[in-house]
Amino acid sequence: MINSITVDLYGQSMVQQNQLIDIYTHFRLLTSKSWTTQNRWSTIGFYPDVVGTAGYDTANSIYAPANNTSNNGTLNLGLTKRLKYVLDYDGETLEWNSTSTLTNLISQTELGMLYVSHLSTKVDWGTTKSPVLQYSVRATIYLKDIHPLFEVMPISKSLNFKIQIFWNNAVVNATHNATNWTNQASQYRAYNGILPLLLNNVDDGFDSAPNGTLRASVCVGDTCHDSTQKGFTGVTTGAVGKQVELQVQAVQMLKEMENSYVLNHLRDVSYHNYYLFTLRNITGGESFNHLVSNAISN
Amino acid sequence: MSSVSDHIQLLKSQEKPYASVFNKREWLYINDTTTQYDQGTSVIETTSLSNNSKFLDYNSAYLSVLLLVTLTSNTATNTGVSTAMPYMKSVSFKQSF
Repeated sequence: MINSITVDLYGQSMVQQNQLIDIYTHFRLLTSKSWTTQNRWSTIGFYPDVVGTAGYDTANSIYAPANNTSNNGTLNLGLTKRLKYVLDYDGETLEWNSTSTLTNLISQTELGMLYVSHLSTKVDWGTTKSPVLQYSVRATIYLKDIHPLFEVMPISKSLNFKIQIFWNNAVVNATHNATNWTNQASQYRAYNGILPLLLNNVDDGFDSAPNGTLRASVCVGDTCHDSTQKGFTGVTTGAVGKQVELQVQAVQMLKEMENSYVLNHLRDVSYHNYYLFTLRNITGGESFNHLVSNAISN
Repeated sequence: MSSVSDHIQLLKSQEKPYASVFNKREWLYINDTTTQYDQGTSVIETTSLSNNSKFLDYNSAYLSVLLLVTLTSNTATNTGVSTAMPYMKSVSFKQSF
């Protein structure tokens, strides 16, 4: 969901804005996580796609419009797992159903108070108005997963950070003919933005839907900011809080340890950074040689 | 059993116990100070945390981000979404690009 960040420490720039942070972060996660850490994956909404299910098909368009790549097949275990991270309706789950077993234990309001990611709005207006489904999600994003600076940061006092975050709010329109996806179009951040959402295949996610066009949006915060959807009857606010929170662990050291730690208070912090370079005036098929350095780009 | 595992087992048995270093841990949180979610940005300043003279571990710090995913028809009338609501497992988040 994060497009880029900037980090200042006491007014001095530590991390410059780079719009490829989402791709870099996923690359780090995909190459550093192992099956032994699997029990933590649901915390950060992570489960790798099964690459073997990715497809590019000109004929079978259940998964994506013809000639588009897709990774939303039934056999994608990662997608199946990630879908389960958000409490969805399966007929008798939430309290719109009088026989809901979950509601006997806890109400939907209390689910929101506990910041449980769940389907918070389900409105069906029949054939007259657009139905509305809204998922309220609480996502955990570790600072050390956003930028390597935080990975090497020692336990410290009085660090005055200013962290600016640029979010990947996005909208997608997707058209299907009740069997196949036939067209899709996305709107996202102008410069190197991405669409964080993944629609399921027609068979599994939209079974029995008549042909037509769907609209899905994702926004940070508790309000839908999509200019089209926010005017729809039934679109409401999210149920899992109002603002983004930064959670930090504070520790109190044993007295002798603190004295020793403070006496040796100087630390060298070495961290990786990355920059975005644009190589200009290269036409298709042309070979090129460029020296890519860690200096600031043109 | 291999000889390597013998050595590992012996070394584990000889490890010295680590004395506790911290006598208290607690989680603190702050909200983002500037929120322009409609513009897709927010700013978090840690001034209030830095003024409380506690040792902070930013290595384990995390953002708790609220997201709202909305799925509708593309128009105010019902096109493309079944009246046999609701769907299950319709929309998720990408893991790769």
